[in-house]
Amino acid sequence: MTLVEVVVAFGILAVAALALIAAFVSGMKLSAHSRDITIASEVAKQVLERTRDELRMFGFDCIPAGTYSFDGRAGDFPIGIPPFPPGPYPTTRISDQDYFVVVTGEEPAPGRLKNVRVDVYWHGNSHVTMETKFSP
Amino acid sequence: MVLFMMMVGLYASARGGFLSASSQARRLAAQYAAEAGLAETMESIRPGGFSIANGTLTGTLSSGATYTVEFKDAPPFEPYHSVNNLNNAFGAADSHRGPATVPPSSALIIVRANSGGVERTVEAVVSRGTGKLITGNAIQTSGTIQMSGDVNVDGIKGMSEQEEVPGNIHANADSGTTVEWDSSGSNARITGTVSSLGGSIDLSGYTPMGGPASIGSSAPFRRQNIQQKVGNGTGVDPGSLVVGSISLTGEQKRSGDMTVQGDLELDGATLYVEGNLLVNGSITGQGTIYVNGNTSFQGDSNVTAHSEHKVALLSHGDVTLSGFDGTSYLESIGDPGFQQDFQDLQTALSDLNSSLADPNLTPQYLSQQVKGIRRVISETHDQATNNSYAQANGMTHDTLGRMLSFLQTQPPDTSRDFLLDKLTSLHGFMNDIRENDTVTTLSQLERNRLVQEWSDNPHQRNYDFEGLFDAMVQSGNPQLALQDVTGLMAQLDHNRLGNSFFQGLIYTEGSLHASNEVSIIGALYVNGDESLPSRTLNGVTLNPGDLVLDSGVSVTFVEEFFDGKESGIALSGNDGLGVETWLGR
Repeated sequence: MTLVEVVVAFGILAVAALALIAAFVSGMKLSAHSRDITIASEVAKQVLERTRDELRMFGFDCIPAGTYSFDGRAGDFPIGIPPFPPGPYPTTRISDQDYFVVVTGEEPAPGRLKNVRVDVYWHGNSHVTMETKFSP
Repeated sequence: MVLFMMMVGLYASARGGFLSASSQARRLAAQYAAEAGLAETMESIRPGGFSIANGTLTGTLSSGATYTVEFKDAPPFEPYHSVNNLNNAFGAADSHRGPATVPPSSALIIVRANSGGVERTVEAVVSRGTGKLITGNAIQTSGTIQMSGDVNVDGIKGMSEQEEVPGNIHANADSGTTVEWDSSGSNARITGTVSSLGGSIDLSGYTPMGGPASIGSSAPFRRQNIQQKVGNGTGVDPGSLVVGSISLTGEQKRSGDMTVQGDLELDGATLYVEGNLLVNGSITGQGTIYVNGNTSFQGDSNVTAHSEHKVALLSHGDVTLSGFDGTSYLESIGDPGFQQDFQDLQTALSDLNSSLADPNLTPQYLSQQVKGIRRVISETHDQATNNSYAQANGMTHDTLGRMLSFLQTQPPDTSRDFLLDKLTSLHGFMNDIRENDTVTTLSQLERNRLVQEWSDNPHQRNYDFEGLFDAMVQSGNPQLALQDVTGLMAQLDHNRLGNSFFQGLIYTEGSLHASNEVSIIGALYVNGDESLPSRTLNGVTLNPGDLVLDSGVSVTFVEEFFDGKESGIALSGNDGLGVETWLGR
């Protein structure tokens, strides 16, 4: 085996190894992203379901009237009794990962219909969105 | 090579996981979009009187998710066709699920939603009258409760099924004396529990039948958005001042204050009052009153034989129940003859109720013996010489008529006029029926016509039916007479002619003060809005959420009024439209 052959062999091996490492890293990232999407969806779901429960127990006023925005990344405080947005707003930490909750909404039919949109962010701009409407 | 295959496998697996997680997230987003569509559909079909039968509703959320609802009123139905049967109270409608599968007064709503290419369908049956107050207490407040005088709090399952349920009292106040009863010379009967969030409870040593008073629990209290409901409400203006009784139907809206000097009857009406509401009479019937300001209610003993009567009175401001105390007024008249008549009247009414409550009561007894008692109460033609009941008790005929004549001679004031109005109705109801005030009694045909009129107007069964009692006991329909006369008379408390009576729900976001004994068949809820000012009455400061009952209270909680079903009191928005059953979610 000549030196050239050895170098070429190492080169091929290195390229293959790099490709494998890249595939491995990419796979790990996808796996982590999948987990983040699943967790973030569950966080958004919890906010909406708790809003629904509190509406059932305390009435339509537990959701703010008009247009509103609560940004968990900016540390906006919940308002009212019971507090809106409900937990896990403003943030929840799972497996060393922070998930920030942003709740926005409007009232297309005053007193009769309210939109609630929940965005859950992680790693900067990665996010999932759940949105629904509530009637009294 | 093996390593390469493993890496590819790992990547493929991770990618599959990612796609699955993304799909699940979109599926969840589609579900919420579908529920948004359901909420919007419920809102959309209300303004038109639930009239949408054909057509498509679509919407797009800011997240990009979309939803579609397609109504159809006749076959053939596809699995995505919604059916609106809300305006049909008597029959079920067909749907894709088969014949007669959408119950009366209901709608089958099917919402198809799409988020990021993932579709989701939600299917639900919605119906009227599903607005719920999530509480099972007869009396509930967000502030403190102070009670004096006799207290009776119990409960029944429904107006037609008298099975008992606990009558509970709860205060969400958390400091000081949260629930207090001043027992001096009075009795208490509370069949359920007494509890509060914090502080202490002082019942003067009385232990409720549901167990010792307890501290530490909070009861959910659903807020009713009265201001907004009044603001959005529309309807005919009933006027600022109504003198005499008024019967309201449909939607009514008063832009300012409203005063009713007489009885207010709701015939399925919704009344919105922007200002204050004063009713110097009774509130009966079926419907809802929303008051943005304060409410003053001077009820009386006007009763109703209709078990389905229930009124929801919702006041954003304070509520004052100064129930007219007719008994005290009558007892205060010093004339011996008047007092003798008053005593005989009470005895006769008591005997009448006992007779009507007799399970062995026969039509013959009703028309003969009961007639004798009736004549002692109200009879403007014959003398008592042939009346064995009157003779046996040393009574004369028409005690109520003489009392009315005497009251006419008294100085006119609100109390006298109020009693005159009420007792005149009772006198007419119990009086012998004559044609044109002659000695000729009404024909059997006329009697039956009067009874039939009563029977055909279930929402107006009160003492305004002149001669009805006589017509009933002598009518050709003794079974109807037995049933309806017994029902009506059983609600007349001969010991408390003229005191407050209310059937339904009283709910306020201010404070509530009752200066006379009040009797409520339904529930009493005080859910204070802290932004409202306090008020001081007789040196006592009442904050929003506080309840003061100065002269006793009797509350019979009626579970069916609040169970969220059609027979109950509808309170929430969308005219009480709510999801009855989820068929797919």
